[in-house]
Amino acid sequence: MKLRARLALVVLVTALPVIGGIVFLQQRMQWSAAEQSLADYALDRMQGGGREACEIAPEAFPLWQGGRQPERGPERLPGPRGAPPRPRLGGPPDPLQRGPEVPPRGPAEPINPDVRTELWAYAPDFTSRNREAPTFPGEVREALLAGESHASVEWFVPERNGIAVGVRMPWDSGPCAFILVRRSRVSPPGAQRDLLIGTATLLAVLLGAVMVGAGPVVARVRRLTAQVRASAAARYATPAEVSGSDEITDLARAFNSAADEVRGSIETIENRERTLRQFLENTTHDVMVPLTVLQGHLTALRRRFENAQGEERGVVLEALQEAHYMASLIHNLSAAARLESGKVELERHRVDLAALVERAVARHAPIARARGLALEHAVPPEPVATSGDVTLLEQAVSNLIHNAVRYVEPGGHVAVVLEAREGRFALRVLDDGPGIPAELRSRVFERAFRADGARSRHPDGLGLGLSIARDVLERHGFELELRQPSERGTEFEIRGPLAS
Amino acid sequence: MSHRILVVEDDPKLGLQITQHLKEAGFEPHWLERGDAALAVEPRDYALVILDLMLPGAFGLDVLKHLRRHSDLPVLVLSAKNDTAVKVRALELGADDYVTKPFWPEELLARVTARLRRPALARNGTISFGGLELDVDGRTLKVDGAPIELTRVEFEMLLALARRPGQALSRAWLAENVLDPERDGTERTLDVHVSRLRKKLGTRGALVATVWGVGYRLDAPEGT
Repeated sequence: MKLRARLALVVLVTALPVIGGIVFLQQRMQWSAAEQSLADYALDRMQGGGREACEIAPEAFPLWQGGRQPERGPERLPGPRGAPPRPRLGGPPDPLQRGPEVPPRGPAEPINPDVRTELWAYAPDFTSRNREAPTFPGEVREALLAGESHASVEWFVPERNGIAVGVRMPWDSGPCAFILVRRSRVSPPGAQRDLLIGTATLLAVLLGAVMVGAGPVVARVRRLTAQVRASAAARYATPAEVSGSDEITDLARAFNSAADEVRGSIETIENRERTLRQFLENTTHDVMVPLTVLQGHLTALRRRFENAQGEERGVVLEALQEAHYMASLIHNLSAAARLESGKVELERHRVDLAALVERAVARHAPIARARGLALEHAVPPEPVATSGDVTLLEQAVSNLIHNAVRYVEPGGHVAVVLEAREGRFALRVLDDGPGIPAELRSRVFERAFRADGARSRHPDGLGLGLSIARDVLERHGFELELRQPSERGTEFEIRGPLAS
Repeated sequence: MSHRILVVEDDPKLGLQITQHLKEAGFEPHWLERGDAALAVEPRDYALVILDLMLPGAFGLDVLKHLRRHSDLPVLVLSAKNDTAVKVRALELGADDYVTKPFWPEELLARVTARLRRPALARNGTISFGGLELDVDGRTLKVDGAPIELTRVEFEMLLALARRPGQALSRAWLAENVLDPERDGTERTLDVHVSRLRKKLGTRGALVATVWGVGYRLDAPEGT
């Protein structure tokens, strides 16, 4: 939920009960004011001549004012004050003509044709001599019996909120000891509507104020968000702007100190990584030269024992393979270091694939020959080039060839074939070795996986080489497929686009 | 062609070993340990240069630039750092190929011979190989002097193989480039043509070798 919406919701949730409370209180006050005024009015009227009229003809005593009268009811009460006296009291036989009209006294009651006021008289036992009198409301009776001078209850008039007030007269006997005053409307017309409009206006003003007041805050929060995003994108090199002196300023400061720490950590990690890579490169270089010399000596030894029989020849072959394995391990380690050094973009250059195949085959040909395998290859006479990192691609191809050369038995074959057709190249490395069992084929590219632990003394050797091959080709967007052409044998195929 | 090879390598043991292996393979190596010494050599005296890139006295890449400025002598770079940028730079500066350390002596020799290998040039329009004489323009073949009738496909196949003796061609390449696509463009018919060709070549038929998993190759006749 957005900040503004949340604020608006909070305003609504807090303001509505308050407004409701105010409206309720206002109506209560209106009610008790109406009750008091009607009680006063009743007393006034009864003491100002009404009692006499009532006691003379209690069976015809209703006193009316305003509004429509009941069908059989008597004439209206007088209109505006000062109008010629007219019969005030209802009742068909007109019993009230006897005395002069009782002028309304006490609280001036504005005469509204829409508001009807009735006075009914009751004996101390709450019965009326007038047969048309309404039943005295029970609640009011209870309150009066309990000693109250007056009490009220709602009077249900269609579409209006009427009030009925029972009033104890200062005399306790006679047919007019209690008066029930009923008025058809408590509040003046339009009061409800005005209240509603006022409340709505208040709410709207409140909401508007909140929206306007939240504007600058929202804008600052948005600006800070944009700055934090920009900073994160720039590896936390740019701090967020700190302005003002409120919670948003604190937030900006907190972000800046967090960014400082993150930047520090990044730098530490990068330094460590740089040092490690430098160390690896130097070590690699330092190992490469002696290893080359060692390979030279081993080659000389192999020649010397070429015609020898038995143990010596086997020992030399073992030594050759170990040296070869070490060399490939070093190449794979530096390839792995480069592949895992993060999201560094590949350096892409034009790569002559025919030369790459010939180099990779030449690297493994001495071992293949020493092991008694045929390592063959073919490249098209036309140039075949793609785009990529030549070191990584050569290592990938070399790993596939090395894998074949290691597992094919003496007398077996390994072939590397490069072909180009319709803008794409295919590079196949196939052998007639024991092959990889179907259930293990999907796993051979997993790091540290070997098809059979007993086949090699080099733990992780195959896993590293093949997983690096897969990673390298994936990074290039090339495809790598593993097939088993027949019962025996393995075929890897790399496919990718030719360089334009 | 001269068989003199200039070796520029600062490591004494490795330099010694390389020169020994070159000698055993029939080349005449000339070994320099310093880069600045290599800047003074006369390129025309050599058939090929083996150049280490990390040298005292001068950067290997500067030696390469110097050599390229004066000749198109084949240069084989020895790279110890398995660094793509260095290799790419060396190739851009005109190196012909590179060998990454550590390497086997045979590996280095294979790269040297590959660099010195020239495609079989047709002298007077004729390619000669192991008793075969192919008249490229006339599309005729003589085996040990005697003319042999070949079909168009047979001649094209023999010619393709003879242009790069010792190097195999894949079945797919031969099928695509030699077979008549309208008549028999599939790899399966290739073997039929090859066996007919071998029969026609008689005693020289063994020159056309089947290469496992690959295709065919014109092998050097035994004893040569």
